[in-house]
Amino acid sequence: MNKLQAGATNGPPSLPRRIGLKYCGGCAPRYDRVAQVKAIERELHDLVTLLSPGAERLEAVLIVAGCPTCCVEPRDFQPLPVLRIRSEADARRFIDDIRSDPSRDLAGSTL
Amino acid sequence: MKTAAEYEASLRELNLNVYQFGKKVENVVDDPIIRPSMNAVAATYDCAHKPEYEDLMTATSHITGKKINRFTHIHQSTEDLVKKTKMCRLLGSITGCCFQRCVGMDAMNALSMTTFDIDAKYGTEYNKRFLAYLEFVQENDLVCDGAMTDPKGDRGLPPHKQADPDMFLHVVKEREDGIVVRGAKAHQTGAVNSHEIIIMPTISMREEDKDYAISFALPSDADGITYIMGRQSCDTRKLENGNIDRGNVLYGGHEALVVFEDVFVPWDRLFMYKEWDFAGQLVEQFASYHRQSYACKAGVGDVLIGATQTIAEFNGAQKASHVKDKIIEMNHLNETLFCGSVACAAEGHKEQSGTYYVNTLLANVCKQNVTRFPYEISRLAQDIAGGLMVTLPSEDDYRSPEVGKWVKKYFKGNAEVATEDRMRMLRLIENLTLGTAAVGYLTESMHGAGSPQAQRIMISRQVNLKQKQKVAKRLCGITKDDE
Repeated sequence: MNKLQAGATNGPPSLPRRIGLKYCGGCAPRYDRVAQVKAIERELHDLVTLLSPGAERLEAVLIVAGCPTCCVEPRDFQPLPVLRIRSEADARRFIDDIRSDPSRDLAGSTL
Repeated sequence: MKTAAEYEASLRELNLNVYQFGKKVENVVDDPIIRPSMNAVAATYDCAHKPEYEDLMTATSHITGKKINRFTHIHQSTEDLVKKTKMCRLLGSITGCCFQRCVGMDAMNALSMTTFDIDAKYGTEYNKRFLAYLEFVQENDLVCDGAMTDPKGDRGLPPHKQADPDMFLHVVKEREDGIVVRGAKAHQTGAVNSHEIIIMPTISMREEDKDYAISFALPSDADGITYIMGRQSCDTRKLENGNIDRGNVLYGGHEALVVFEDVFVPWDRLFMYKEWDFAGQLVEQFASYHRQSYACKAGVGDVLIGATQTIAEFNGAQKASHVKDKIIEMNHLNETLFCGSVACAAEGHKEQSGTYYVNTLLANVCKQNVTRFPYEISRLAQDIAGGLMVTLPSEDDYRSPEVGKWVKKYFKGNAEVATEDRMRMLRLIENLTLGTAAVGYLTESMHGAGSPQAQRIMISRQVNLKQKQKVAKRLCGITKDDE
């Protein structure tokens, strides 16, 4: 079991949920990625902790990409579920989804 | 990987022999004219440590498996090539100038292939030497100046027929422990911000020119190397009070003439020695990579477009339909520049050495566009900015107890915007289109990585005209086969 898998547990997740954060490189972003991540951290501070994608006991990895291309390679994070934010609307949806159901199954997210 | 602070500290340990305005520069790092260019290179270190940029700014060494700054990386896939393109745009958009570090990356990638191919033909060990050198560069996260352009003297004559044999850098003496070289390299971007200098020949050569067919790397402060700083338009504004008139208050670029007066090169730093038949290959491979690197101009274009939209708002002209249309045109041209660089990267391929190489036809198309579009983008920026960008009084006048009140009053645009902010934005546009940054954004776009005709020659060599003719003939009913 690698350190990424170490976070996988049965039963409802404990809060705040440990999620890895991975940015794309930001060559020509269509929105302010860093500002959106700050908004996520501010609005979900009691529900989600964003950590380095190499941190231990992660539940999932959140890729924050500046455009729909989302050029980050998701295979690097296997077997963790990967969620993708590619716009301000996606960031809003992520916040709303977690707030409405803090224990939701991240692997089932369509982001 | 070094931090920006560690990079600056490492530069202070160098003992460079630099001249500017006829005097030796005793403290290169803190010289007010040179300092902004050091800041721009430092940004390549700083960004590598930021999570929001590291996906482009870092890579995994194929030698050691360690995380390294992408500027020291040898491309291992087309994804690496695309990330290089994106990194160049990113840094151009952050600094608004030339950040100087791509040229060394391109030299190392070209050498990774050419040294391999020389060894395959002649049984030499250049690739092994080069890989040892590369590991040293990666481990110490060094800036390398990739130096190709010789002064060239009479352009109609090959190196060995020049009236002055030093017009192309060449070997003058062979010793047991290495060689001694003499000559110079011109237009060297970022030279005095570099730890190392990598020398390459500047043109294809014949056997008679074999003394000029040399490639090597040396510490930038090796004995016998002298740097003579190039002037830039408006450069001494950096010596004036305040910072408004500088335009870009943080970053800049520089170029220098680098003179090699009987400089010793040890054998283990030589990557080509008299293999004249590979000089052309090295030039072409370096040039193709470097033509891809001009994605940086799309990044600088991002800054200029942002400045132009902002000054339109400061002037109260942003709602005019022609202004909106000109901004669209600027973006169209800028993204077209980016398209060329992305395309030549995505269409890259693996060479025998294992290094991934750009599609050379598309790299030349990319650079050909770069020789034109920044000029048109600049023309549109100046159109929208208005004549004030070149008639504006100085910052000293703005701050003058006697006339400052009139500068503030009469150069007010949108009432909600401070006159000083309007002045700053106009100065940034001036900086980019005819000041210090225009060196990089315009004339370097024209001549850097080869002048326009060099790309046109490469394009003509690589397109399949016969096939295009064949299809045209078939479609219009010509059945006679010329062949």
